[in-house]
Amino acid sequence: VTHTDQWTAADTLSIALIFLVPCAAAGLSSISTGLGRSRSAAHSMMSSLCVLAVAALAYFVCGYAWQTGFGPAHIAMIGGKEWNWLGAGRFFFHESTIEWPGSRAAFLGIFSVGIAALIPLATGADRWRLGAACASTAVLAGLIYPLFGHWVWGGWLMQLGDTYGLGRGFIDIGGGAVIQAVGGLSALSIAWILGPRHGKYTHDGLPTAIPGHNGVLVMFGCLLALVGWMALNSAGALMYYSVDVFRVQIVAINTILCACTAGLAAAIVTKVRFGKPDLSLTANGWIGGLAASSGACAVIIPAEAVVIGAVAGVLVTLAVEWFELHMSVDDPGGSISAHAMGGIWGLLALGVFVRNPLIGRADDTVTGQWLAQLIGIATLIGFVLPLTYGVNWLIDRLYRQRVHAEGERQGMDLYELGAGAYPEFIVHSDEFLER
Amino acid sequence: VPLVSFYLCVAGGGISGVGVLCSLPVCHKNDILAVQYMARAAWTHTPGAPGLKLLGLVLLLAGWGLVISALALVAEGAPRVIFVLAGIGVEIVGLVLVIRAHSWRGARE
Repeated sequence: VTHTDQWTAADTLSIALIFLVPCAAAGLSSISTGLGRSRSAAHSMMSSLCVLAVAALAYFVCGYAWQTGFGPAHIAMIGGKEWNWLGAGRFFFHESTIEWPGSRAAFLGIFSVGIAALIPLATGADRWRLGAACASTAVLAGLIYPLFGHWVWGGWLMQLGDTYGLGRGFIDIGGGAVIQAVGGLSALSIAWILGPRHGKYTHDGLPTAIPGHNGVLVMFGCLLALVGWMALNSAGALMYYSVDVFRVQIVAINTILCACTAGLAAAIVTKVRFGKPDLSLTANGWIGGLAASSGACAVIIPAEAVVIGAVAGVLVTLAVEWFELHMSVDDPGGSISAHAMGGIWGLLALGVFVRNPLIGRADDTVTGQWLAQLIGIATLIGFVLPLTYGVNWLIDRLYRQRVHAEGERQGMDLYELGAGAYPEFIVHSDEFLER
Repeated sequence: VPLVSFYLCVAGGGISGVGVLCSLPVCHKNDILAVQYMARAAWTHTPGAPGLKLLGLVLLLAGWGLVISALALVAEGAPRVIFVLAGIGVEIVGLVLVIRAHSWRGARE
């Protein structure tokens, strides 16, 4: 009630948009389940639900207190400049910590951290134990996401413009770095630690195709994700960059254009290369376009969004094959390519295309913006990747993350849950023959 | 602080490299053979480089340390850009090493 006088249309709109963000989580869960095997479908959905729950609780316990950019923070003096490196809020969503506008950031954060935590699930499909996924999520949501999130949305990366004159500091409108790239790099760590599925590679090291079990679920997930992404990008633009409320339509249009061109580009590339458009790669391209839009959606024009989306579609399609063929990374959901590669491409493209003063300042100078974006990406690869890998490696030492070989043979549904998603189906044992 | 952390990272990388060398069975017989063996292990998928992954991860951190040091200690303009790009270069080398270490493991599994 005390804030009624300062209440604006942007505040109302941003809160309404945040209510739609869970659609992105629902979409990603559907895609993850559809691209996995039928004998692990129930496990995949169950894991998604548990991961969302654990992420929300970990964020509630300590995540938001460390992430918050709206309250007190820990400052370090380095080279005579202030480096804001960690939020200093109080744990358990304490009243003083989530006072407006912190409450709105906590509301968005509780969904965003869930989306970031869902991304590795698709990579670990058919072999990642439920308990291990929850443990990994707790660390991601309680430590890694909040730390990097604070740097980007309030901390030293955001302040690079003020402290070192690098454009407007590292810009990440809708979570291209904080949500997509962090989730994607976490997925890469999980893929390395779990190793490929049984039967994925021949003795010669050549990959074999293990197709997803439900293309309809995958495509429906893509459409659902679009709704969530538009809300996520628009809410982020309003909250963290104070974009004018009349520009929210442009943010949404850019998001749609990125996804559309990326999906089409992926379909065309697969049609040209394989003779027919590939459903799973087109879905990956679509999600890659959405991830690429997250970084830059508010500071580009629609024509630039088309270019960013087209490049993302081609990049993701080729990256999926490159990871599988040349890096021996078994990623059933294509999360690493779509979220990490797509997200990082979007952040890089922002440094190239940004030129309009869309985010609040009157001046046109964006000198050094590309360097700020590079520093943000260097932080992702040089700090976040080793951190996620190290933490997940440690969890693996304490509690083995990969399911027992017998569990992989039976399917995660029967082995971990005791019941399958499709009890009428016959399990095809010939998939386990040595190739 | 960033300078010290950077040097620690570089020192860590050096120690990891020495660790890789020392873990090889041929090290005490002929150092040149050991270096050749490690280089071959790094750039082909030959098993036998247990410290390769660790070296890659340390180089990733060292590259980031170089980027941070460039921000904090190097003057604005071209020198800073060069140092940042050098840091990213170190990160890329580290990433390649980690990828190599895992791609062999993946193919084996």
